[in-house]
Amino acid sequence: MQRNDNNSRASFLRKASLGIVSVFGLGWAVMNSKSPQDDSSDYNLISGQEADDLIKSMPTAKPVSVRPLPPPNNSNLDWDNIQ
Amino acid sequence: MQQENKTSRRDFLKAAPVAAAAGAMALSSCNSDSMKEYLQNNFRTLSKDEIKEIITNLEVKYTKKYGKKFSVSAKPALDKTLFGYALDLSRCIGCRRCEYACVDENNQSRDPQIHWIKVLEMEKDKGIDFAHANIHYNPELVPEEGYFYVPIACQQCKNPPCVKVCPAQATWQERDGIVVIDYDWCIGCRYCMAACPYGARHFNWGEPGIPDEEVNPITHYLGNRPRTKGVVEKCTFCVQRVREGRYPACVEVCPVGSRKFGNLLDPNSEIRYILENKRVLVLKAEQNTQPKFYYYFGV
Repeated sequence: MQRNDNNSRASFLRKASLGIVSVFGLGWAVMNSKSPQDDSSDYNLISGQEADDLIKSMPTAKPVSVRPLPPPNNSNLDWDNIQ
Repeated sequence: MQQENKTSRRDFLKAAPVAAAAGAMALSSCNSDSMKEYLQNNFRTLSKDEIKEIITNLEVKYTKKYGKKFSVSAKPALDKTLFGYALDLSRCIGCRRCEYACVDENNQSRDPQIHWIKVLEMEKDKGIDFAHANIHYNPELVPEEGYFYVPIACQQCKNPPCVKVCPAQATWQERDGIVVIDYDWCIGCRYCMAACPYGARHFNWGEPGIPDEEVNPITHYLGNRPRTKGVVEKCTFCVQRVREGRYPACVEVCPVGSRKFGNLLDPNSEIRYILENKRVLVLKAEQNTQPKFYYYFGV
């Protein structure tokens, strides 16, 4: 009887500790399963579509009209287009 | 067969001292400073005394090379500071003043040419469209009707893919948010260039060419100090300036005031006002790089 009690207590403790680890594990997984987009929207960022709409309706900037400095050359074989 | 093996061993033994002597001669021809530079530890693991010694040696070397008094700072990130940048797309006129001010300030190679900032001209009808952006526009006058301009450089991402892929840990993010490179630890593998979705990193394919009279002698170890062939470089928000309380060169030179810079942790800063009150976007948000370079519409 004594032996059975010991066994059942050990079994309970084993199950309880497994349960606790599972709950914490699940909690950690939920905490880290946020959509990646959630982190990048700290400042009410607008979407690409909204930005494109704003650009279309935006007047051409004209506080001044100047000669631009020369365009870059490709002498460094750089990756020019970030497509 | 046996004879052949004996002969080859004898040949090897004869050749070994010759090779050792040649190696020793090669090593002795290296100057001790360049050997020290080659063998020095990663900047993050150096003690204060080691940094001091390295900085002094660099200042002497650059002063001798360029014929003007050089200073190399190793000033660490400021406390309670997280730098952020905002650029007003409705004001930018695409004049490229920022691009060339950056070249001058940060000792970028003139030939072959390296430009950390690229100004992209885009058609308004297409919106932000990198596939059809033009960096070689050259009209008589800017801004041109029907176009807008998107200057682009390192976005100082909070989640920088370039840092993750570096096999040498030669690039990292500082406490103030600036992603820096230890040029002495860069092995030139260019993984970071492939990882960066903004094309912000540039490789020195050749020995950088900067006329002595144009070199900026006020430098930072992790920023605008002269680089060598075979290393990658990029914008550091002008680390040599901003850690001294100055604006980046591109902010100072912009003739229309479209560039704003400040401390994101300061609720009273101009940059925080912009981010909280204007319509703000980041480039390629879907990549989850979380840039600290924001574009906004001021008008």
